[in-house]
Amino acid sequence: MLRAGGPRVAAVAAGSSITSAVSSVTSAVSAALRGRARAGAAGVSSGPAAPAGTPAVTGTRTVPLSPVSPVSPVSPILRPCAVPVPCHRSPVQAWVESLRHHDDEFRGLTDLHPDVFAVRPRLDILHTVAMWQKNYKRISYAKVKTRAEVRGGGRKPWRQKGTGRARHGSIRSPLWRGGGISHGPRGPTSYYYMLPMKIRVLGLKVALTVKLMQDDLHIVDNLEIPTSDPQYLLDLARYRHWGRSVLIVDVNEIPEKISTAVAELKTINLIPALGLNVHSMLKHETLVVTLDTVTFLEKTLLWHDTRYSALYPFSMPYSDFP
Amino acid sequence: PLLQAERSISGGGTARWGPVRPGLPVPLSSPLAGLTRAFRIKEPPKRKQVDRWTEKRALFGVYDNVGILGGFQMHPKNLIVGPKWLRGWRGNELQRCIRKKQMVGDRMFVDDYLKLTKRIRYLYRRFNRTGKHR
Repeated sequence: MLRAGGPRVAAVAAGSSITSAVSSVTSAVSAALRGRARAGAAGVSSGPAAPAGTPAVTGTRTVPLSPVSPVSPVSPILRPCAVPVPCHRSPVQAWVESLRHHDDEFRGLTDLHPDVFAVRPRLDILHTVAMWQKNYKRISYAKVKTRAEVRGGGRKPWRQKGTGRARHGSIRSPLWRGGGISHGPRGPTSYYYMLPMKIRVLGLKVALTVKLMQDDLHIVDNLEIPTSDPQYLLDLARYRHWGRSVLIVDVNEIPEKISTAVAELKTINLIPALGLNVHSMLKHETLVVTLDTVTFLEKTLLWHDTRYSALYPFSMPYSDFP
Repeated sequence: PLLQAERSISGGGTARWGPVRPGLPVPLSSPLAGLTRAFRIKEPPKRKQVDRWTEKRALFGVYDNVGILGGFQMHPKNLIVGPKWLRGWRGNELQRCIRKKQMVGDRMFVDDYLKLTKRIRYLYRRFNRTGKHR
């Protein structure tokens, strides 16, 4: 039977296709909803309002969460994989949640492509890509003057022989105090380099896999929230045990309420799907993704597995891409 | 001054009963014991408080994969902010100087331009005429 605890659901043993599991999923989801509604009705007076002592909650007031659970028995969302899955692998599954109510956690199930969300957990690739992201933009502006650039020092300070002092040619040689530096940083230096495209793509796939397998990936049907109060999102994250930081990703245009709510928060950030990257995924503890973003990511990241190498840059038109 | 001698009093090899010097302002175990003048004890420096969630730090790295995810209309090297002759390019010092002279040389101050030319001349001779690799 399906476990109603974490976001990742053990693959149904009967078969990989989601159609065979419709009846069991529907009964499981409705059982979960009924269980939640009963628990919600019983314990709503205490509520998940955060106690005053927790550091994660900013501000002392809490938005009262509505006592009526809105989980009406609609049909659950069942999304098959957008890209065909190879026959030797079966898709991974995850719960679909919703942000409309704090209790709305089991809206449905979605299939996730195993070659994007269940790849080998290559930590070395995560490190490589994260270091690339840190360094390729770096331009160091450190510069020191050499003995040729320091002002002065053209004349020989004293004659070569006769004075008992050491022989010198200029007062700005690197031996002297105030002299130039012989091997110092020279001018703005760039540390730019590019990793191969397939390694950057694999880094994204590994990061998504790791987030899913460690129960830090939450899939949401869309980003609609009832109020534009930032406290609602904080309470929601606290109730659902999402962690200290949340990264929300969306492909379509972002609704206004959530963008105003997130604008005032530091640890909850919202980015478009174009901005997804390994560093942000590792920095934020939880990743919240919409269903459309999952489709987009699967299509974009899987194309690199079966493409020809570029004869000319991909920015120029190809007959079969996009 | 013999700080150790001021502090420790041995009982001639036998056991000592009672406090060493009763009525001391500072106990003998502290580093200030037995010292006649005030001594400032330095502490290790405190860590500076760094806010890990500023706008810049929270959104670091966003749009680094804009090429892969965005249909290759944009390359991440176009996002780099910096001097014009260094955006999306890397080279050693001689290459950087030559590129700066090519791209920005006619806009530079006269004495900076002369220093740059001098540097290019020096580095060229250094790399191509001295040492093992020429």
